[in-house]
Amino acid sequence: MATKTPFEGNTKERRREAVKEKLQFSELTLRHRIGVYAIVLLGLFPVFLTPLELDAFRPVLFFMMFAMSWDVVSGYTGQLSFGHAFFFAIGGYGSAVVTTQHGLPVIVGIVLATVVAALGGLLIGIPALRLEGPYLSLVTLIAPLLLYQTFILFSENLPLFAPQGLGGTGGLPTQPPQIVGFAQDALVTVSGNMSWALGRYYTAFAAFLIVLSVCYAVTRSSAGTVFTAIREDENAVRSSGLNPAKFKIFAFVLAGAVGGFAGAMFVHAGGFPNTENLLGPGRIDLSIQVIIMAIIGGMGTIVGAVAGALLFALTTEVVNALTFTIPLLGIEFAALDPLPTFLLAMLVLVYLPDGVVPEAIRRGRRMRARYRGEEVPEPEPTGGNSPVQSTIQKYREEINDIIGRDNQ
Amino acid sequence: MVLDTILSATFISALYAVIAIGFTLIFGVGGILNFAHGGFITLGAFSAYIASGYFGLPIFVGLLAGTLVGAAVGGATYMGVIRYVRTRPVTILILTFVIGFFMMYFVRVFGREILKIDPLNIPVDPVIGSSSFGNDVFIFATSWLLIGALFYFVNYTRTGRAIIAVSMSDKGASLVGIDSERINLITWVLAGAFAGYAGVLLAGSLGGGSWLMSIEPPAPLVLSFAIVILGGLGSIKGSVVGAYIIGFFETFTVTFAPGGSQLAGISSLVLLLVFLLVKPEGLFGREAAE
Amino acid sequence: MSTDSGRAEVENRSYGPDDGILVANDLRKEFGGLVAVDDLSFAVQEGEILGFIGPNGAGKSTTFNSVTGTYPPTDGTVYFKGEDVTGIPAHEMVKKGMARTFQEFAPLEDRTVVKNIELALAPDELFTLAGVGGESEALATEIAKRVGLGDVLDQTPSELPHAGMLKLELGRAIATQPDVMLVDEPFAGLSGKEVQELSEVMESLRQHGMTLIVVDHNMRGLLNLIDRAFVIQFGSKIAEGDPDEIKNDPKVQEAYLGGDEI
Repeated sequence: MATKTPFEGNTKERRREAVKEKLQFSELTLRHRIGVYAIVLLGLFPVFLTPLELDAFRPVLFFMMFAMSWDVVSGYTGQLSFGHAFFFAIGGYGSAVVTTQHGLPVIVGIVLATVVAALGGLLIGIPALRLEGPYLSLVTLIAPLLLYQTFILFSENLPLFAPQGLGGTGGLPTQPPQIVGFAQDALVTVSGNMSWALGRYYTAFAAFLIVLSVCYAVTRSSAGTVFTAIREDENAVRSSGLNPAKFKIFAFVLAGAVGGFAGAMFVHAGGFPNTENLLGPGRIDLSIQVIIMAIIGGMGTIVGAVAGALLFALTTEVVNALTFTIPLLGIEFAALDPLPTFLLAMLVLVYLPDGVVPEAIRRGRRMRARYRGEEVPEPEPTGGNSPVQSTIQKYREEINDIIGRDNQ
Repeated sequence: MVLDTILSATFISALYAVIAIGFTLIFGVGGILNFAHGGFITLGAFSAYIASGYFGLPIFVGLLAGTLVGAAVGGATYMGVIRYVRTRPVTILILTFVIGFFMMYFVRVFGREILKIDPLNIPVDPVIGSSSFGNDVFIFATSWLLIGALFYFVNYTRTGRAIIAVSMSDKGASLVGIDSERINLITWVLAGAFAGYAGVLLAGSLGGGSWLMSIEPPAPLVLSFAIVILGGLGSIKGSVVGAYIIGFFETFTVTFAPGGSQLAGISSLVLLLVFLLVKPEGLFGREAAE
Repeated sequence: MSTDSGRAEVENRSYGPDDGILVANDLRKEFGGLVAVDDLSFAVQEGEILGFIGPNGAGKSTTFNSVTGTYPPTDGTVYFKGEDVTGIPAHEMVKKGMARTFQEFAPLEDRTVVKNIELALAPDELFTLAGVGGESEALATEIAKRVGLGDVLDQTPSELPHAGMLKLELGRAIATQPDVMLVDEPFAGLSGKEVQELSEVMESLRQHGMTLIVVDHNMRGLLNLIDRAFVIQFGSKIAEGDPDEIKNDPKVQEAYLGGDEI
């Protein structure tokens, strides 16, 4: 070895110390502290909200998890997945089938479903090694469509795996056992609507915390650095002695596992396993919504996915609350749902391509600097690429390769 | 039986080719994968319903309406949105998805709330109502007429050759004085018109349209993607060949495979997946130089 | 190995696995029908700085792309530290201790100079706490300082001047902790002073035990740096020896006739 590490002594010890230090609240930067407050606030929602409102908000927690799952692979490595609901559906249907048709306990169902969804990630991740941008988009796009057809094809009976069938378009025949519920088969049996609603909410919240921690830990570790380097330039990764294939597959497997876990938790926390909930009413629109959420919030940040899901849900909520009648058409504004939300998403995509969170951090830094009388940082780090920009560059090069254009 | 199947595969494949060609054109010229293509198809069928089903005009007028609306939304999508984000392919990709779904949901909301019809079953008549064979022949003949006309237009007219030039290099084309903005607009209008036209015929031969028709079997949106990949992204000739491969494969599996009718919409996807993994550059793809 | 042996011997000589730290034997690379590297054999000795010279289009880059695993050679064998490493992928080559810089390098534009170097220190492992304690950042900083980027640690690559980019590329390669480093055209477009600076960095790397191969299309700037050189043309070796011998070799002079200055 030509170069020596400048450190001697026990590196393991120092790493442990460093992790501890990073977890000290008082050491956190402002934006991290805001993040922690926001999570605490989410956890305290049951204090301010009625059980009905809690139930309405619960799906948003799952949207957040789904969006994080997308961000891990697509936001970080730049491998765009257009059918991400594939993983949610595998997780949700998987755990539901395991628990209702094979009589296995809920925990086993969740673990199995997570593993199967991770395998689904492998299934998509391997073609991703050979296929470039648009081709990969197609593979990811048809995955949930094939799954949908599978549900119809085996609606009555899928030998061995689902003896009672996958239920076709209407969803599975029975609601799987709950983690917290009234029925005997629930993990925690409660009585009273209030405690039931609380139970469902906190189940979802716990799942959210798990998904957030996993995604956060991986993307902030050195694997996360490699993910973003893959998005930038795979050759640089290779010449640094790192195997891009390994990390790409890992990203897909992780996204699959996380998405599948969230899908499984969804059906055991009050969600019904049907295609409308797990693939979207238009079969692939949940996949598209998840992308919109992650991009609105800010790709390649994990936190952005969470914020984006919240914004998306808020918009939908506002649209649904507007019950005035539109003059010429004679229908309520709310009946237009989801058109206004989609329209807003288009505007954000065109005018705020980097997303809300990075923009907010940038503005926040400038404001704080001004407030403290320090030198105001540059509005744009000159020349630095944002995640969206580098994903775009990668995609453009791949497309130009394929159609043989010579625009450099 | 076999002869019938060959015949019906020959007819339906021509329609598939028309469905896919617009998608090919936009990819070839602008390098854009236009997922709003499904929206164009759906709006085309919906317009035909409004003209003929709602206003009671002959279905020929409906076919014309579908084609014109397709052309109009194609042009509007380019002028209103795509033009402004042309340098950001990923944004475009996601935007076209959102736009496509916007159009689909528009059909759903408009159909359900205002016209009070079932958005999953929008009645659109076949153009030749008296015999399904006659209708198939009509589809086949006009599809080939359109494909031929497009082929002539692209290869033998000034504007067509400008399209080819832009598809090879924006910069090169602008150097010789071609207005690539105009060429792109023409492409989008053409693609929209083809999609709208195909949407009307498809809905007619399936016995009705639906807000989800672009992703329900035979899933024309996915089909176009599949056909274009089989034929090599960006080649008109390739798309026609791809359409015939997919059309034949699909018709034959549906007719002859056990439980075949259940496989409608799946078989071509599976074929495509296998193909993608074995030969990702397509049948007529331009090979990347090493 | 005698350096003043006849040319016929130079061309036909083949090497065994242990004749050097890096050995190529009858290396051949064809693209379609085009022969880019024509049964080339060479051996690199541990601890030397070797010049690898040839006119533009002589097959230098192809040779090293085949050796470092960018693509497998059509034929022939590559030995590294006595081990047959023919055709193994680029990232594995790096792990074995062979680094290279690229002539057309692309630094990661989304991060700072020090983070660029830090990537090369990341372990090829999925689950790891490495880097959390800050030691890889400290090491990356150290490397950056050593290649002369101490003042620009927190700039993004696009803010660097051309020489800075070359240094960054060198730093990134060093960070993989190689035993052999291949440096592709390090002096292109540099001023005399910058050439001097970089040469010193490379010399000090050699002092630390690294073997260096410097690829260039002429020997400008290399004379004081290299111990020995190969010259190739049309994918074959045409001369081998110390810098003076090379300069006076008639075949080399012919190869460069009317073109670049050797």
